[in-house]
Amino acid sequence: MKYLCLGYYTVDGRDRLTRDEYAAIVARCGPLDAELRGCGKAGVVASLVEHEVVTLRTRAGELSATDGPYVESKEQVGSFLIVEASDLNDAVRIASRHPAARLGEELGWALEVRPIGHLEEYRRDGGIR
Amino acid sequence: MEYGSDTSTPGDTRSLVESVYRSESRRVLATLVRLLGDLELAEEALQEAFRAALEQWPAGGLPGNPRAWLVSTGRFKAIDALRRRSRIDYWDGERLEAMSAAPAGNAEMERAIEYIPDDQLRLVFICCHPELSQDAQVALTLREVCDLTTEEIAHAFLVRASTVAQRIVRAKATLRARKLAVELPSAQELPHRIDAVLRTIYLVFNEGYAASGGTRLIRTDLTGEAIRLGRLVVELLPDSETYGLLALMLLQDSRREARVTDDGDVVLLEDQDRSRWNRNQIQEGLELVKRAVASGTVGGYTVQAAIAAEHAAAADYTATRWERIVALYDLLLRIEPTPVVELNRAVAVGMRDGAEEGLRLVEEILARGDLSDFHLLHAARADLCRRAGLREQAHHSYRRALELAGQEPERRFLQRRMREME
Repeated sequence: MKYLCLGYYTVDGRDRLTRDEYAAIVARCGPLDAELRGCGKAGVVASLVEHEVVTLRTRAGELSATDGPYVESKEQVGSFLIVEASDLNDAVRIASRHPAARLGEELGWALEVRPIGHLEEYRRDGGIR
Repeated sequence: MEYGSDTSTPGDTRSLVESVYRSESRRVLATLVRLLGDLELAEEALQEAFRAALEQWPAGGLPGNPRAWLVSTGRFKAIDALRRRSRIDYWDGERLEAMSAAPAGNAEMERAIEYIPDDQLRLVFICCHPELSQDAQVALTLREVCDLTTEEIAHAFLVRASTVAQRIVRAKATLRARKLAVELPSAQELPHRIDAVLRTIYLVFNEGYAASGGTRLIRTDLTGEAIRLGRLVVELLPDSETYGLLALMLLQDSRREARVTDDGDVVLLEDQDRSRWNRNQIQEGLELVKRAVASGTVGGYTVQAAIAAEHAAAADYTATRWERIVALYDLLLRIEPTPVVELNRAVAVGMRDGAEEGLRLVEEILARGDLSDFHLLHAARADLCRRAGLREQAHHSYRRALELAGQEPERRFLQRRMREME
């Protein structure tokens, strides 16, 4: 099964960082990223650029493009990865090497692990109360 | 993505590795837990070992002893990962230290990587550690010992996969933080630890045998896993109560086909077509009861199995030897003085001495308030009232039972009976 992991950070936390602190934390991300990429279970490991986001939607039947993200929030998605895992706990085990899960405690970093595309399988048959 | 459709692995080797995974992965994991002293590290090592097998077996061929190859490879990969991580400051170097205490010489290593039955027993004891919550014990046992996925466990227990995932993550953190993992229990601890293992297995069985909620009465996925675990524990730890538990599960499960109609409705013991009971399971269960009684102090599971054996041995409902069943409940009540056992005894007394006598005992339990929210108590009272001709009281109790019952087939049964009392 495939799982999408979203790495979050807070704008406040990021703004508090000095340039040196930022460099230090980025340096620590390297080995973690390398391990994640090397484990053979992570299909895509990527970072996202905060600015220059375009949101597409249909307005009055016409496609419209607006400047900026869909969700205006202090919490931002800064990275994502897709893991191939045998189950949710296996995905958690693999994803636990991601910087957003391991680092940035004081910066509000976090990693969300979400199953892709098989929700209906366990909704079926009253799987969710 | 590069996984899943790896063209460098011929299909037949892939399916070979998969079949080795199915037959060996739990034993490889169990041995890795012994060698690495940590459940999570062992799981990771297991994954790495099978990944290496997929890469190396196509060219090099299947090793002479695949299991030993996997253990040795997994251990090597784990040490490698720990070395790498010890250079990253977030990771604790403690585990690497523990690892260097592992056997160094070749001959010694060869012996160490051989699977021993104690490995799997250790894994069962770890998963059922009394320091973990009952929910966590069940989830961990089904995942690590039975190889069910988080999603399958969640589905079986009607909870969210994320809830089960969190339980498992926390349980592993508890095991690691308290270093509870690897030692087999001492002789002194053993009875207490076995109790926890048997309780967990029986809980899995019961959830399967009479689901607490949902649309089906019986969940054969869970009863099947519980019986499998019961067999494993009997093999690893032959003892009166492990025989007793396996016997109990086999005897209860032997009635599976007769307990529900094709439409999923409940069929009571008295109405069941006994020719549909599984004779092989009954035979095995009866043998196990004998062995349990012969091999030591009789415990709660053995007595319950003996009660189930009485039902299994009766040619039809009227041939049930209720006096023996009541006597067995008397014995069970001495071992487990709980209100639920008392309730079951009251029902048996109601069969031996008449509904009024059973009702008197049920009223006593009800008056104490112990089981006032237990739907089966109200269902039992309703049935005794019905048989005693107290229609109004029966109706009242069926209604109360219906308010408390969570599972659809049982609710339909109670509704039917309630209507009959109107």
